[in-house]
Amino acid sequence: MRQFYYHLKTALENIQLNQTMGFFSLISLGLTLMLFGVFLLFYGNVQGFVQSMRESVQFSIYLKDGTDQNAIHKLKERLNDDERILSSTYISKKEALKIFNASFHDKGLIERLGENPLPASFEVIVKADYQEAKSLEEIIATFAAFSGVEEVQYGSEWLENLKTFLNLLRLVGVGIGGFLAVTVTTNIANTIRLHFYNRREEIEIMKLIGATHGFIKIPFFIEGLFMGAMSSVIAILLLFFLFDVAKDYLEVFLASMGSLEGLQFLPIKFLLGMILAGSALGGIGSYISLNHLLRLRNPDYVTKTP
Amino acid sequence: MFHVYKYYRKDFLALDDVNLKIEKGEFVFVTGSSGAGKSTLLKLIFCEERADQGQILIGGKNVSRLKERQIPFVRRNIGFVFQDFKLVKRKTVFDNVALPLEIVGASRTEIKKRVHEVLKMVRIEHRQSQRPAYLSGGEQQRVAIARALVNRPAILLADEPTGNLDEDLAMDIVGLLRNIQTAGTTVVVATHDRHLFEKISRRRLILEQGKIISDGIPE
Repeated sequence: MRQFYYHLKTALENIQLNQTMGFFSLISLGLTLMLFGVFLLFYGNVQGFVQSMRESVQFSIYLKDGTDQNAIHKLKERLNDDERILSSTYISKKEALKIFNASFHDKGLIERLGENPLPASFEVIVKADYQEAKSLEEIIATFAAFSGVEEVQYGSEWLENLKTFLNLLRLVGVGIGGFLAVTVTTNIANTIRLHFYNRREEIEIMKLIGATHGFIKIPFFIEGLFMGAMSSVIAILLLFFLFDVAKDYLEVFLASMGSLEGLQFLPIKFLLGMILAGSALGGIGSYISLNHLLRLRNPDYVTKTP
Repeated sequence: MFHVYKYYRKDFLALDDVNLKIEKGEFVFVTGSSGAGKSTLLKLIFCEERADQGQILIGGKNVSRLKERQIPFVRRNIGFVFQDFKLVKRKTVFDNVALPLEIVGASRTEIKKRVHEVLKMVRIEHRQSQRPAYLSGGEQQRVAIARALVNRPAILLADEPTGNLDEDLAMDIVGLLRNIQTAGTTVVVATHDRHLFEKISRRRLILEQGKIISDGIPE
């Protein structure tokens, strides 16, 4: 603990000593990590969108015109009894027309046809546990066989595609994340190396008066952790600024695409994760750099005289 | 030291079959012309260089067989006063002297107490908050001695401790080293300064081309 105070003090002195270089390193690291943040933001929002769509997975059971009330009643009972079904709503031909008219301004369209072409239907929402493609197919098959059922429409194929896209995105994320992690680690390793060289005389003196490699390393290691964490904080601030500026435009765009979901910033656990990950990368970077520098038995900065 | 050899290159023998015994609490001058091997001898004791052949025992411990990671612990028991002082430029006199204690994890109170003690001993207490650049050569040398002593080492090695100083200051520093020896520390001083060892009657080792050619207390 006593030594920790010394190490912390030395790490802060290191940062102060190299503040100009440190500042530019932090900005460059912050920008790098921000790129990953942009990706996370994109991924998080797509995932949120898919999740919200999953919660409203539904299918429509269209009934043949003239289906008698008895058959409709039977079907309704069956739907209520089915444990896989969360809810079902009966929409009569009249109601369907009302909905149609409410959605489209061209009210004369149906009237021009003479009679109501819209079928009566059941709008069915499936419980979350049964929203997988296979379960949905089974449910649909069950109800398609009922008397009076014209057709069962299941509009979630695109959702399956979106899920595939999400999985692909996850893979891309791992790739980008890995690449950026290497970039950040290398950058911090290099910065620590420069800071180390700036203090080479002092380090040599420390070794001569009995400092172990561990003792010499710790302040630089702390510096690496701090740099990583600070870079993440800078990345988060930049990301937040960028998000705030772009949010309104993107939401208008998404609304025009039919999405009612608002854009969300990264959740707090992601932000904490980013800071921790940045810190860990800083630690790894400085560890690699210091191990290499201190392993050199006769570093070029030591002048040996006979 | 038993049959110690040190090569710097294949054809340059810095120490040639050196056999030497220094008693606890002794004061020894190591002299000889430039390149005779004085500094190398001190560096071998201090483990800054490793012997190519032979054994070096310090307090019964064979330092020539130590692993790299054990060396710092040996150095903590040996104070070394470097010719070029080797003070950390950006640290104050106090912080420079406190360094060996920081390394061993001494408490704040202990550090304050011991640093003041040695600064007082070398008479540089009044400059404790200055940085080395603002001190004279003599003052820097005192700080270097204070740092070498702060851990209360059993051995104090000084490599040309008066090399950059005028005669009066040099005698002052040697007086200081003698006081340290009187307090029980073994002191080994490498120097080519004749005035120093001619005025003080102490054991003198003369090295020539890496060999000890004379060892004894001059008349």
